[in-house]
Amino acid sequence: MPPPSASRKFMYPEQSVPYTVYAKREHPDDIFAKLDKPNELKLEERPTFLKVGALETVKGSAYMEYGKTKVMASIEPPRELGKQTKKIGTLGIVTCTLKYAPFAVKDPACIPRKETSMALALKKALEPVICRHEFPYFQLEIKVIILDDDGCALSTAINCCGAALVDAGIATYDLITASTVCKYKNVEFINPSAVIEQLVSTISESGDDDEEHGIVVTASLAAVDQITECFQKGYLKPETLKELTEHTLAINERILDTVRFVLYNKVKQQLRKDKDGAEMSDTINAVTDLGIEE
Amino acid sequence: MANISLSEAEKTFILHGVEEDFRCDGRSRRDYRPMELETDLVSNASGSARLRLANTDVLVGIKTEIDKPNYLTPDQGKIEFFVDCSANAAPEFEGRGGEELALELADTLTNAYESPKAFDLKLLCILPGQQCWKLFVDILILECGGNLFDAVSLAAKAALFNTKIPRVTAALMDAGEAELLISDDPYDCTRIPIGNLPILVTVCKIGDSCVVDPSAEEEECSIASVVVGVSKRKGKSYTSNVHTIGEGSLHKDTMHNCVLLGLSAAESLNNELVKALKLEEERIGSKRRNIVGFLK
Repeated sequence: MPPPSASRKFMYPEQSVPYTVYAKREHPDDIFAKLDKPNELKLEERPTFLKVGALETVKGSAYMEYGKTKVMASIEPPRELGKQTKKIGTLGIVTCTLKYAPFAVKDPACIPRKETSMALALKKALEPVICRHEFPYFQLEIKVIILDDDGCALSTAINCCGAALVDAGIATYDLITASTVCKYKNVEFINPSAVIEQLVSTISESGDDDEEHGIVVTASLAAVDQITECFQKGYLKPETLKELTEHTLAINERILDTVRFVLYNKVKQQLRKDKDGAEMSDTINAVTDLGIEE
Repeated sequence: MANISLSEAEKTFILHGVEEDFRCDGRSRRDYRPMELETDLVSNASGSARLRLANTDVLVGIKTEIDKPNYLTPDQGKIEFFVDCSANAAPEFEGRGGEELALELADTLTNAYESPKAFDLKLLCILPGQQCWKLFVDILILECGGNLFDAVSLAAKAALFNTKIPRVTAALMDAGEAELLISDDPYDCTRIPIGNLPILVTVCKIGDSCVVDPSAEEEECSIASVVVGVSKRKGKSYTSNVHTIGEGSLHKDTMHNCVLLGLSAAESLNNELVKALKLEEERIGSKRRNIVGFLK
């Protein structure tokens, strides 16, 4: 089925289904048996690539690859709100739009629901971190596009937006980082892949009754020790929820190191460029001065 | 949510009250406001409920329709939540003003009902791969007096309890297509078991303490709340959905305390709800009452 948002852009046939429907489907238990389960719990992030300032045309942007998940975030400069807007307050307004590329997931039918719920979650995660009192009567627009989703899309989007906010020069209270952990059949998966996320959401009822399953996404600020957003879905006992949240917080700190390192390098690079630029302009000035004297 | 302006002094008054465990309306931090619940009052819906929690008024109607199951889950039915924030509830809901809140409410309910252990969609399947029931849960917010999440989830659960799905008596196979025969008797129907259905509890952080069932004024004083979806199974409480709302952030210990408070509140709330629903049904039975109107 074509993703509704894309039906205008792409000429899909109206009533089509992916051919995989007719392929022999594996039982969830078989898929689970094939997965490589972690022997010991390692609270580590996935191999990460982060580029700050990936786009030239916007105020701030970042591109992040978290394993195979690829996300691009861009931030428009704050815009003044029209006078007729009713939402008047002394705090700036943050709006988030999140789009999935039509080819980002295997089953495009779930895209519209994911887009709206993730945009909401992203907004709630980012609102507390932005110093909104610095731009009253202004609106800050954050746009995210998910190019490839191999699990952890929401947490990667939050990480990417955190870096993009710094690149845009928007004042924030702290660097925000987020991570995902999920639990399925008593095995805990750190940074679950799309296959595991799919398994968790299509769990069958006929199982051990005491079995838990669920996914937890936590966004936190390490310096002030605060959780800006905690999102859980599934069926978990409160103790498990607490344990999983602790684990996400530990991974968040690891990711924070990576993000900090990238930003630090970016600043160093910028300073070097500025210095070179200053020297260059000095020599140009000197040359032109000479030229005038001649 | 509703636009209430409070002065600093009023906010301080509420904050001090919460700290002393004696809120403006005389409740303690763990008390709910009185509720009024009524079921089966919309004649065109398969199930309906109206809940009034102090000043919050919610009306839920459930429609059952036949649909084709999703090709990924051929043996499951469907459920869809739709929330409409009426402009009667608050002037700022006019036009598209209530859309964001409505989306958030519907999304939270969808997430809470997603786990098959909370709500088993297989019950709604008629013929695997061909026909299934689709439940449309339409929620209308008539008045906004704080604590919408709890009110909406309670009303939705009550309406699902009240829902009557007609019994399918025969399915004829005609050239590979199924043809269904629905029973003629309007009282011949199946019910939805509500034992595991989740309810939502909002725990609101005001000052350094957490309260349940915040009024609209108290919501104004809080910058962060946690919504906990609680489902009961075999006497144990599980969280089916947790998420934070509001523009602030929380410490992880506060967060955990909020979840625990939400769980314990949900447990007693759930018991009371089931008790009230059974009592109402016993008293009225299948007799049709003379329905006068919603607004009192």
